[in-house]
Amino acid sequence: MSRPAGLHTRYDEEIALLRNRADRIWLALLAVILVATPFAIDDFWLSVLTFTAISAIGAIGLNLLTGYTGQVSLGHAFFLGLGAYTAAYLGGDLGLPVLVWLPAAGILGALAGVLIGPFALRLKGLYLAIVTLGLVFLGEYLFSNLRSITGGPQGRAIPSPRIGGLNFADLGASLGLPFDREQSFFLFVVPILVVAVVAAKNVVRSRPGRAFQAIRDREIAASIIGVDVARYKVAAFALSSFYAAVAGALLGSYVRHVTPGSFDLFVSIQFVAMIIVGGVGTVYGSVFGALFIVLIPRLVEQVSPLLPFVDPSGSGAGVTVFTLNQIIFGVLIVGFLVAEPAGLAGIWARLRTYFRSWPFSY
Amino acid sequence: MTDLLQLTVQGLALGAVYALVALGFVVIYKATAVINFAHGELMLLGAYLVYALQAEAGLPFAVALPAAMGLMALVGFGIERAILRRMVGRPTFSVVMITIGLAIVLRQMVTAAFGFDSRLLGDPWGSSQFALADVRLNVVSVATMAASAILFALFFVFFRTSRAGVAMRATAFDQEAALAVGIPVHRVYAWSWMIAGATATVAGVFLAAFPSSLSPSLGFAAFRAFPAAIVGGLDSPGGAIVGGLAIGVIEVLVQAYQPLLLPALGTSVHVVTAYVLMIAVLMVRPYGLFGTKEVERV
Amino acid sequence: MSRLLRALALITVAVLVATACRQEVKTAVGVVGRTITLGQISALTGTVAVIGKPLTKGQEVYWQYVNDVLGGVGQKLSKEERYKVELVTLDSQYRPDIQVQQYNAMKDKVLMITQSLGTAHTNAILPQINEDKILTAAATLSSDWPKQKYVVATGAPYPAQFINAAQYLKDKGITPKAGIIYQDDDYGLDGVKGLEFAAKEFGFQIVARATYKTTDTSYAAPVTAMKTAGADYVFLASTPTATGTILGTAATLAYAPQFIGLSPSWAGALTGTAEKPSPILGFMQKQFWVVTDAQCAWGDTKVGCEGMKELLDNHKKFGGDQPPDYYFIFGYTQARVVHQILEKAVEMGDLTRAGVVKAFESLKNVNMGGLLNPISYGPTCQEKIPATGSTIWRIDPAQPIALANVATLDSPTVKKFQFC
Repeated sequence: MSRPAGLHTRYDEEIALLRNRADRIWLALLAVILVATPFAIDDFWLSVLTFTAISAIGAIGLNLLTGYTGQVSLGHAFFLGLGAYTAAYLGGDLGLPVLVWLPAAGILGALAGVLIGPFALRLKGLYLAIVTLGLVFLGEYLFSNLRSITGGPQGRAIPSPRIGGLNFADLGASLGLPFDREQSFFLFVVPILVVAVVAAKNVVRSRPGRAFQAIRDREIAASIIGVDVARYKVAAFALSSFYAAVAGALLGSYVRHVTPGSFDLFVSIQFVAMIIVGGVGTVYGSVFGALFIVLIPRLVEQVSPLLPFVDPSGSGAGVTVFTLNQIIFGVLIVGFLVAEPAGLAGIWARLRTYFRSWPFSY
Repeated sequence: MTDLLQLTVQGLALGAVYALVALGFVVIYKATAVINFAHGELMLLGAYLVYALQAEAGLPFAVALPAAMGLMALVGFGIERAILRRMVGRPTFSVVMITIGLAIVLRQMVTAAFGFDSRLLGDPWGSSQFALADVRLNVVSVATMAASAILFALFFVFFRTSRAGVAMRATAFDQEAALAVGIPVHRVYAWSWMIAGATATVAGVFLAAFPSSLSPSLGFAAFRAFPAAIVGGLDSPGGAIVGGLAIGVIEVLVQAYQPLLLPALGTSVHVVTAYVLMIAVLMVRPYGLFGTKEVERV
Repeated sequence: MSRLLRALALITVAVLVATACRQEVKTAVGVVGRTITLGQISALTGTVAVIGKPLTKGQEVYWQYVNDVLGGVGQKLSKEERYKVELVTLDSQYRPDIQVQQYNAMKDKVLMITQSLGTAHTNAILPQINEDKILTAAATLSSDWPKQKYVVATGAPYPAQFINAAQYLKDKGITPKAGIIYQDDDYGLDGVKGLEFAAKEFGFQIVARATYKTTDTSYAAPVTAMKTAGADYVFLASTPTATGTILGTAATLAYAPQFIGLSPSWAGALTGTAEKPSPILGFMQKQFWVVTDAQCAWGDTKVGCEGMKELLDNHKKFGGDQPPDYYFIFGYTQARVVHQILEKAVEMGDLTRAGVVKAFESLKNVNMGGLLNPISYGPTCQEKIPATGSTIWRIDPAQPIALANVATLDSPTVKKFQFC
């Protein structure tokens, strides 16, 4: 039988992703559910899950930067936009296949991150947050004015992910299989999310991850014991921007049209909310947080006809669904920060410990 | 040449508004080391209260303004009591995110209560204006400058000489040490949020005054004034004034002259110029022009 | 090992059961029995809600009129056979990305979209409209729409408004020194296109151009630019809050050109209220004109304005507390146009999405009762411009929506503009 979780005798056991057979079974279960999901739920909820998957990739990137390395960034939307417009240019104007533009978007994002990283060396805490805020405005300016690449204020179309004739957003048509466009895109995005999660987990459990966390916890002490703070801070920005740009490219490819307004401050705030609600400093937390933040407004919309104080067309006495959703969003942020700083991941960890030690949970 | 002068004067008028907004940021930061992202929404709420007290309660402006300031001080106190008090000792970024969440909720409450239409604030100066040797100026702009000068003087004296002010600075510097020497940190926080609420009302009123109007988008003006607060130094009232005036003048001049001198830079350069300037200043002086350097410990 | 196999088997069964529950795609989309479902994606919140809410209300009032008074769509059918119209209204918050999401939420339920507000926003859903072939009535007058197969423009594109205004000046023998202050987006650029064309055709100069951003607090720079260049006619491609501040700044600088604004540049609230009028009301009355599609004034029920009479009746009956508003007229008129398309589709016997598109392309010479000039559409781009006339209004607080007619005209020069 396997040892109880927590008792490790070797290093690789301690950092292993799958500790015992139970973990492997759960993983297999998850894989089956992921593959089966597109066939079990309808297009609307599937599109919610697809948005979740894409946002989760971005949220993981932000968590690596803010949660693990402690570098506060409000500029995430800028890197998302960078990725989306790169995808638009390489995929649309140059007609390159997704195998080229998706990694290229990520690499461009990483390069931008390398440029921004050095600012973190000079500025601390809130001042860094303000500079990254400035990034968002800079992004809006660039995206509006570089018309030949970005299409200006009206934005531009982004192609679906394709390799030649094989269109991942419409595998049904390309391969003659019985998928529709929503199912096809979901099946395209999920493997990318899986890769993103595994990669992030690997970074976190190995040397760079420990360096990041050392910088977050006690920067000066970390530099004293030999962590190259400058290098790892820049690396954190580069990695986080890579994830953000990939997420942006996927988002653009999914909604097929972006404008500079799609990457404003509110988008950055949504990502920060995702990691706060999900759990700062955890990888799975980013996914939970993304699901929560994307799902709640859609749920509220579905439920709203039953709520007496909600007036759908906004011309009557009640609040609109949008107002309700925004209020819930704000309350969620405040609520989680005040009451549950470890986020959903914290709640999940507590639940797991409860069941694992049941019936001795007290 | 008259144009340059006129534009500079208009820039100073804008700068005075920015200075008022920046002062609000400074008050909170000086006492709690937190950037209050909800300041825009506090300004919004304050301005709408001034409007509502005039339009619905029929009060004259001279009564509505202090009344609204009082109400907003209560709102500030309420926010501090209900939410921020629980965050004593938590990392500053968490508190900043809470202000962001608050901002979102406050904005919705204002628009739910008042709708989205622009309204006229009903300030007493109206469109009256005067000319000083070819340069025209609104009386409202002069009032704005006067208000920022008065507030600056008040804050300067308050933070330098009064017990409460020194207590605030001590709390911002090191919360634990302040607690240890007996400073009532909770009350300090409450005072600073109350002052911020009142200041926000004044800023909101001048932001919505002629020739502008009162609309929910007022809250976004806070983001345009951010660079002013940062450039001056987040804990320096004098810095807020200098930063505000500088950013105001630069914004107007860039908006006027960039299309003529550097059209290749495209449009709306003036929006991003303030932020670029801010980043440049921060690179040279990481705590702003007049801010105090934070001491970092191992 | 067997426990694992059992678990997997259970899961497989569960998944197969769940798969069976997935809904099948409907074949007749948007028409269920005798009910037609139409979609609206509008800005019900945000800065543009001052436009979106009355516009949506105008649509709702019209469709209520169709259901309750006319008995439904299909005037040639018997009363029981007529189709009732149901509206699905979703809020885009004036964000293009939310517009896309709301489109996805409604696309499987609606026959066509009767309102899509926002130029950039409608552009955002354009790739999908084209793929799903859903006819969409755009609540904006961008000059792009005639080029699209699936977009219905319900008014003359913005450039036409400026061209007509310039024609009016020319008819009065005025050669303006024109300036233009425009919003820094495609709506603003549409205005610039129109003015540049008019300048070329009518032989006047544009002496100054300036942009602004909607988050700007100070409009000193653009107004000073106009003043310095000596512009005596300043065209505005702006939105209401900006217009108010621009006019106020001009008053401050003692600069009094004639301002001419596109239809979205105006909102009734700019005049203030009766108790607290705007401090520059006098200035506005003398120096500001708004150009809109050619239409009867609110309250005008003379011959040729039967549509306006119908609107006033329905506004009283179904309008609730909606005050008189220009955008109410726009939404009502737009719904009326969509109604004509649906009637044509019923007449042609094909109430599917493809049938609706065919009906749109065959609609000719429909009398709009003065709410618009008679409209015609067709399969080509040039034919998809429904009408080209404009009305110029001045501000008059005594009127119901504070607008008094200055002139109505339909310049032949508009037809020369390259919309396509």
